[in-house]
Amino acid sequence: MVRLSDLTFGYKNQPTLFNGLDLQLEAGHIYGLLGKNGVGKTTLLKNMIGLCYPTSGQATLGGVDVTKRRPDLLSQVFFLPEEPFIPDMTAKTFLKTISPFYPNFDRLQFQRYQDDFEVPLERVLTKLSLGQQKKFMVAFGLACRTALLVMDEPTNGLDIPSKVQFRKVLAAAVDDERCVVLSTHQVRDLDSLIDSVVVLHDGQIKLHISLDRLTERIRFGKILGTSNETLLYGEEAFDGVHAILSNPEGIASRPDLELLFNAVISNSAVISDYLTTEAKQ
Amino acid sequence: MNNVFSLNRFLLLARGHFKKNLKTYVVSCLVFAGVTFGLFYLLISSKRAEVVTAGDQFAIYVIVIYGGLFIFSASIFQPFQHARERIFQLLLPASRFEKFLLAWLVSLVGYTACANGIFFVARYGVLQYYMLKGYEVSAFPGYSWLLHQKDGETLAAMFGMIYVFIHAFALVGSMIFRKIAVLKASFLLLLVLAGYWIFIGTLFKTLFPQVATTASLLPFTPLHITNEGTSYTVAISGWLYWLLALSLVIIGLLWLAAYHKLREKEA
Repeated sequence: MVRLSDLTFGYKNQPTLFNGLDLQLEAGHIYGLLGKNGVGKTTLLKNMIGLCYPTSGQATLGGVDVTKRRPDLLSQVFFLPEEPFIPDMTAKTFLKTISPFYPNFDRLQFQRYQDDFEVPLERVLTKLSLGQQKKFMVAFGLACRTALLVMDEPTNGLDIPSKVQFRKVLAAAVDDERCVVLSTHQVRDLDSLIDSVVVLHDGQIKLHISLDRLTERIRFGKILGTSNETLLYGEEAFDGVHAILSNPEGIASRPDLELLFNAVISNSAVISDYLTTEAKQ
Repeated sequence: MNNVFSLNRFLLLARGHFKKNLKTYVVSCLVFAGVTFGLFYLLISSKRAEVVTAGDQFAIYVIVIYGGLFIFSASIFQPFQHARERIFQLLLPASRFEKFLLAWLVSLVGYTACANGIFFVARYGVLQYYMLKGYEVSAFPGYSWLLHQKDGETLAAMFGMIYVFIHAFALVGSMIFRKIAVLKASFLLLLVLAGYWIFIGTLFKTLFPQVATTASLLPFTPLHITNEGTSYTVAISGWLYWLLALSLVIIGLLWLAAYHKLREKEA
């Protein structure tokens, strides 16, 4: 669905952010884009949806060059920035004005999300709290039922119950025809939601793998004392060493994305080589 | 789906634009009316004679309508300049042509209709007041009045061209400048005009150092030369049409430049 081919990008008068980047994202998945602050997560998302023009290479959605910003393509993309634009109008007016641009917009679905998020429709959007504004835009974005839904730090500004609600609503909203990309540096907010992980570091996609495949190959666990198991990466904590271990027996474990992320960006040759090799197989 | 222009989509875009900007436009209309009232009051009260001449009214008309056009047009693409709103505008599922066309129509056609309407309502109110006070009030100098002036046809064409040129220039300014676009665009316009006048004036004086002239320094316009007490006029036939054609080309290029800037806009 989304394809970045040999994509190179850099802002004017600034060093190149990505160089010859390749990435393919498919429908039916929720991708978590992870990366440190300033690594270019938002810029990568913008390249993906045609908000930035690559220096070289191409970004396509369904085979169409996204930089053309064709209306038929735009009606299949919804992007929720970290700080979305909120127009000075009531939620009802916004719906009436903007939803017709999205042919798959589902009003009943929106109503359900809006009830779940408890966002008032009669009030002017700019008068709502930041969290409510974001929840409204999330509900709207989901109800647009676009083929590609991109959210940049979607849980920023949400309170704890709203984060739970967000995960529930998003998980229910995804089907085989939609591709969802979530960018975050707060891994724990989304680790139960995403099914594939993309790690961006040093202008490169360091890791792109589904969690199912990942947990087939490696195991997350705690090591107390000495262990004979093959340690790929470990972080000492008060209750032992939180470790990533090789998994030749295929033992199921719950992925610790924070640990995985740290492992990938720590430039640990062992983990990088192991995961990269495994991901390519 | 037509990806260049769809009437249905364009109407949706227009509806969205007016719903979003309704309050701003109402306030702008009130400010425009207030400025018109203010200028009439200032001009009339600064004169000793109790008359409101056609020339006075025309001067105020030119100031508010042309000035307003520049300010309004230089602001029309500002939503594309604000970091958050730019993303929303660029990703709104309408073509770039539709977005540009809407801005073009609103700033040129829409503004002209509204501004003229408000001006004449405001003028009617002010002049009724001064007529009741016993002032002698002339009729508004319309298009036919302009045509009856010396070189009236040329004047009318020039006023029209300047109006459209201001629009085109301000539209480009609106696309280029992220902040305080009105001020920056007006400064740029000043620089361009001053640069042109200095360059052409210097060039002319260098080429004809001994000749006293009264020239507009605009391309294709007649040149009046006085040399040893004898006056000459050098003019090419149909110069006005050449000038209009050149102006149209420049205006067209400016509109294209604004459209191109919109096409390449990034967030």
